[in-house]
Amino acid sequence: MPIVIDANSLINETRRLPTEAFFVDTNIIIDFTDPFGISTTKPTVEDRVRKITKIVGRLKSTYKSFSTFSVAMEYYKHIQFNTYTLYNETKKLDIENFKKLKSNDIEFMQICDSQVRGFRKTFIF
Amino acid sequence: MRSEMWGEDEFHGNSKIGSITNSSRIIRVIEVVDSTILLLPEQGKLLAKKIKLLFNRDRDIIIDFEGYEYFSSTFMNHSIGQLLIDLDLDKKKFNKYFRVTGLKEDDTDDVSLVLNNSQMRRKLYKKGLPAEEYYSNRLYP
Repeated sequence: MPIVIDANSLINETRRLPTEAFFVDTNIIIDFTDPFGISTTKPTVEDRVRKITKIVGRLKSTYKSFSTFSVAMEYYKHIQFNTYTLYNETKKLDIENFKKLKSNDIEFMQICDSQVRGFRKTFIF
Repeated sequence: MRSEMWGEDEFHGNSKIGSITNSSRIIRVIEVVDSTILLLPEQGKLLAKKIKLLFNRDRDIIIDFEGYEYFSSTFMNHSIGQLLIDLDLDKKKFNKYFRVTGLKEDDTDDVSLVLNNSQMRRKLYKKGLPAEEYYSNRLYP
């Protein structure tokens, strides 16, 4: 049976997690890292990112944090998809064009490369 | 060396960083934000605001992170990332006017990620296209 704890009570230090570590889901990691800086463009996203950053920042300073391989893969696909759509001003991923850009377009290659380094750092490979 | 509010000093050479000139100005990030933990959007906005006040195309600015313990990418997005958009600078121009110093080796990649992302958002912004329209937080298992 999972234990439900109000995240605000952790921030306010009125409760502690009954554990030494916690697992983080993909959406939480996306909001915590905000890998495309979308929180700078939309106030509602900024509010969410602020809250997640506070909570995860506090948790990380007190407990160990872990993730799973499937979460890492979801995150990886997230950065791949959005790097492509934001760079090409499109809403759909064209895999063939993605591969073409990744081998021919220097700017796109640099952006992909820095996202992959961010990904590695996030998941500590 | 002259100390001022907001952690701003004149910089008088003798630096290991070759391209810093005598007319460079230093912004000490942890003094501006008043914390060694650089986490929240508002902290980033405060830093960006201070940098914009000092920005002058005739003098370069050193953004010095010396003494920080941790920064989040959110902080970087709202400070350095937003700076590029607000000052209408591309990466090349950013590197011309600003030097980022005092970062831990592992953290220098984050700056390049933030600059790349900011450049993408700036490109969309200049075309009048909202970046969030091309962004999806849907997950692809």
